[in-house]
Amino acid sequence: MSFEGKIKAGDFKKVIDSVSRLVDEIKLQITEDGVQTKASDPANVAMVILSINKEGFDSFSLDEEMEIGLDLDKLEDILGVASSSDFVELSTEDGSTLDVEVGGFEYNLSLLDPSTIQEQPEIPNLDLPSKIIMEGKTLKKAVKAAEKVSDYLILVTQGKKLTIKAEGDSDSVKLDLEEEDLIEIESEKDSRSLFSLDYLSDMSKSLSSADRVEMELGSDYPIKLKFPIVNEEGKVEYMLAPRIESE
Amino acid sequence: MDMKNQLGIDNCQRCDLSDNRQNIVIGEGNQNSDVMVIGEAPGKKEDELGQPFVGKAGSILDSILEEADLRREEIYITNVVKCKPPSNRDPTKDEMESCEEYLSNQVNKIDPSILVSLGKVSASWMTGKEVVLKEKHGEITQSRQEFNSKKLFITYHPAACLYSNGIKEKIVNDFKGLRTFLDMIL
Repeated sequence: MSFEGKIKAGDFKKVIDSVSRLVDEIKLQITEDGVQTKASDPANVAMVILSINKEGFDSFSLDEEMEIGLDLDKLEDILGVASSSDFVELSTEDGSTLDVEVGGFEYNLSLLDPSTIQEQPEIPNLDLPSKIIMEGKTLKKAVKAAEKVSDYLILVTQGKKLTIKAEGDSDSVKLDLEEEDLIEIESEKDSRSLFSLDYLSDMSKSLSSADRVEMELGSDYPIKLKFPIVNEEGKVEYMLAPRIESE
Repeated sequence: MDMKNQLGIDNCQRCDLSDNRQNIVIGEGNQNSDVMVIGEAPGKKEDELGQPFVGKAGSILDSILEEADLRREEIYITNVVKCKPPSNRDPTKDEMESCEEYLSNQVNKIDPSILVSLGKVSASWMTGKEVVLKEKHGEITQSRQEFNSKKLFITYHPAACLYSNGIKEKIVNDFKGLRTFLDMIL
């Protein structure tokens, strides 16, 4: 049982960053197709699903499928020494340690026992009525503006319009995005949901550089945010629980 | 007041299913539950005892719920129609229409966060659309307006495990997804 993979440090940093926004430890499945993980944050408010095809690696070899336990904080610290254009070489013989070669350093990391990490959640399949595709930077800007006035964000679709707003005790902010401001919007029915900005802020940092972010929205349903990484060879999907308005 | 009196269902004669029933099977469980499970119709054992899901399918449902970390006593269980159809056939549209007011009132009174349809008959009736379970199982969608447009989770009927290999694992995984969803929204 062994795995060897080589990937651009810049890409790998983004991959790890997208997951470490929600959890510190993950179980990573390494299969002949690539690597995958899914995890929910300790409060069960948010979830992340990550997959990278083996084509996203500069080189990828595996003799048997395996699951390894990763401490993401430790890995992020190590990747901090690398510049974006460097390559990271990862290898493990038996899933108990991981050799990481980056920026001229050769690290040997102890891996976590996967059985000690929180079980991966079964992801519910949500049929959401509003589907929007927008640039990541647009969403990040809206989240940043909302943070100045409130701790939650309101997302509303009306026909072909998406409204992003936040209402604080004394101040409020609103951004109307018409069809021409978005890449795509399809809405079977109007939607309205509230979300915690704590979580959205973290997620928006991760998706800000994505050219296309797919958002799926309903009324008082979790939101789904999906975007490509590693030159479209991988994808990240976030799901965030709504904050239910008290009547 | 028990659900039978609240619904005014005693001695219902709205359809022909009343001719051969032993008991009206209204439903049972936690009336303050966030989860309301809706099967298709009572079977032989259910008709005898007046309780839903007490036969073979009921035992399978219990074990599925347990594997998904849900407990039967925490949820409310009922069926689309409250009387046993003959020869275990699917209830007809007329029979489901006759019973719709009862089910709609149950949804109103229990006011769960989510409805759970077990099987194609229930899923199609609750959504008002022909549901293909192979495509839609595990999905959370919206019920018809008559059921307050509530969130509706679709999965196979536990009895499907008696006829088809591998279905139980699918239902368990579906229910684990429901568990995750409940953890997120409650």
